[in-house]
Amino acid sequence: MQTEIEIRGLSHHFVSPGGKSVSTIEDISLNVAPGEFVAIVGPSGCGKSTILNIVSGLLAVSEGEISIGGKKVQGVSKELVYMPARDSLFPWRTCKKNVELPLELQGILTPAERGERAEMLLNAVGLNGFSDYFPSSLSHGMRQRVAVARTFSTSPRILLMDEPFSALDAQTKIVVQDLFLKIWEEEKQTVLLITHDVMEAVALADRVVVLSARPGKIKSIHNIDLDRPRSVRKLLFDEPKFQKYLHAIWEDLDVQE
Amino acid sequence: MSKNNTSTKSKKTPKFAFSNSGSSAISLYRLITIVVFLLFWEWVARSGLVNPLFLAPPSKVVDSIGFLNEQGLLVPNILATLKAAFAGFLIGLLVGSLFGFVIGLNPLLNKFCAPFITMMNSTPRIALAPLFVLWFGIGISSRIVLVFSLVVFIVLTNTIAGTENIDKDHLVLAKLNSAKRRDIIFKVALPSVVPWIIAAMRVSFAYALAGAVVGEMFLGQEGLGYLITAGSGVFNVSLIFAALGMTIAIAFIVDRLMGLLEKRILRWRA
Ligand SMILES: Nc1ncnc2c1ncn2[C@@H]1O[C@H](COP(=O)(O)OP(=O)(O)O)[C@@H](O)[C@H]1O
Ligand SMILES: [Mg+2]
Repeated sequence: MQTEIEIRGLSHHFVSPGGKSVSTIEDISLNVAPGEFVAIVGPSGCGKSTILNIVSGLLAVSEGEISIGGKKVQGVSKELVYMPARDSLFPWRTCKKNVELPLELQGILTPAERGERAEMLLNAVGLNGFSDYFPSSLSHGMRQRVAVARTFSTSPRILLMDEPFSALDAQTKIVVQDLFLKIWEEEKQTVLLITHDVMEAVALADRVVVLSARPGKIKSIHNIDLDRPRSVRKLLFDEPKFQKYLHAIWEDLDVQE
Repeated sequence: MSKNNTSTKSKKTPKFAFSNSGSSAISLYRLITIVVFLLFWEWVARSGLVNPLFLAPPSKVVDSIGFLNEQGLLVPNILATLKAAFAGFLIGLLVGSLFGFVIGLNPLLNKFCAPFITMMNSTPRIALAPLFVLWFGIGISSRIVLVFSLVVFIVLTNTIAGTENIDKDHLVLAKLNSAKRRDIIFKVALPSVVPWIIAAMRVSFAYALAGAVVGEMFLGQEGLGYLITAGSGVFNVSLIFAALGMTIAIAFIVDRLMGLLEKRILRWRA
């Protein structure tokens, strides 16, 4: 089987202000196939964001190896897009200009083509008519939808997402997740999604990786055998298998109250 | 301009806030306050409670303004003050924001400069007026330098603060998109800093005007400050008040204009 993202023996530690070395993740190995959607769940502080920061090239590897498309990761790469929890929209740019930003920075397409692509993506996330609005006049959910549109703007091969929908309220979250799925099922990027929301992981991913508490180690991997195209809304209410997966993963997470 | 959503906005504003719909009421109250204040002042000045040598009633101040105008002293002196204030202000704005931007974007340079900027900023520039006169003569240039010295540090420190407050998320986003340095400067840093420069601009114009007037009081042969000195030399309080009134009017009008400019440039704000 081909691999798009290869993580081998990845460990990382931070040096605390007191000079002590704090291990955050230990010996993580994971292969993600092209077009595969993998979600990583784990308790808060177990090093999920650290993994993503390393894969994205923002953070240097302390131990282990990461390859993307067979090439070792060294610094940030244009093949992948990172979507964080906060929308990071530029407040002085209109929605459309925000979606165009990655294209502009990477020098992709002509200005006219960028505009067309941005309009198309804003339509896809249900924001037709809002192109010329500034982020300050949009709701949380709308802003995050602009961020989704921006994420797809460069047609990246790989999406890295760090709790991208965690800042949204329950209803809005489902709407945005479904919009995201709809675009993704057409484009089929390789996705590595970090989340602490088990429901989100099961609803979106082909495989769910469960991490243990800090230092994060891989505890189990669950194949999610649900038909595609999926709809989060439908899964939540009409899919018995969905509940089964939730149960199994929740068990593994071993959340103590 | 294309979208007019002010009407929907004012609907959303809760009643207890000072909303748009209440702003005409506020203007009315303001006007009443001013009128009452002027009437009270007029009464105090005429009642004999205060020595008329110290306080002139508003009606006499208005007379003085008219008199100055008849003598051809009003417009030229206002223009002289405006010239020094604006020249120093604009140069200070330009130099302060440019240097602030460059210093702020270079962390090492910023660290190096910080104590010097604090030192210069805490020097009372007004007290340097006599020195400036010594160095640059009694012409307009020494007053421009005085105004500049007041404005430049306000703008400089604000611009540096602006660069220090650039949203880290925006920088990360730019970095993840392999942004060139030029793009980071012009597409991330500059727009982030603009609101800070505009805030500094509004604050510093009041200082610019005060600097120009004080400079004229020291040694100038023209300007509103000169009128104040002249007025106090002959115990003409209404002349002093007339010059002060003109100064306040200029400050008010310019601030309003800059407020409009701010609204236009920062229209992306909520
Ligand atoms: N820059 C840093 N310096 C020191 N410790 C850090 C740093 N970033 C994260 N950590 C620590 O590493 C652990 C893992 O962080 P993170 O990857 O953000 O966890 P998660 O995303 O799973 O909540 C946390 O305990 C956090 O305190
Ligand atoms: Mg995290």
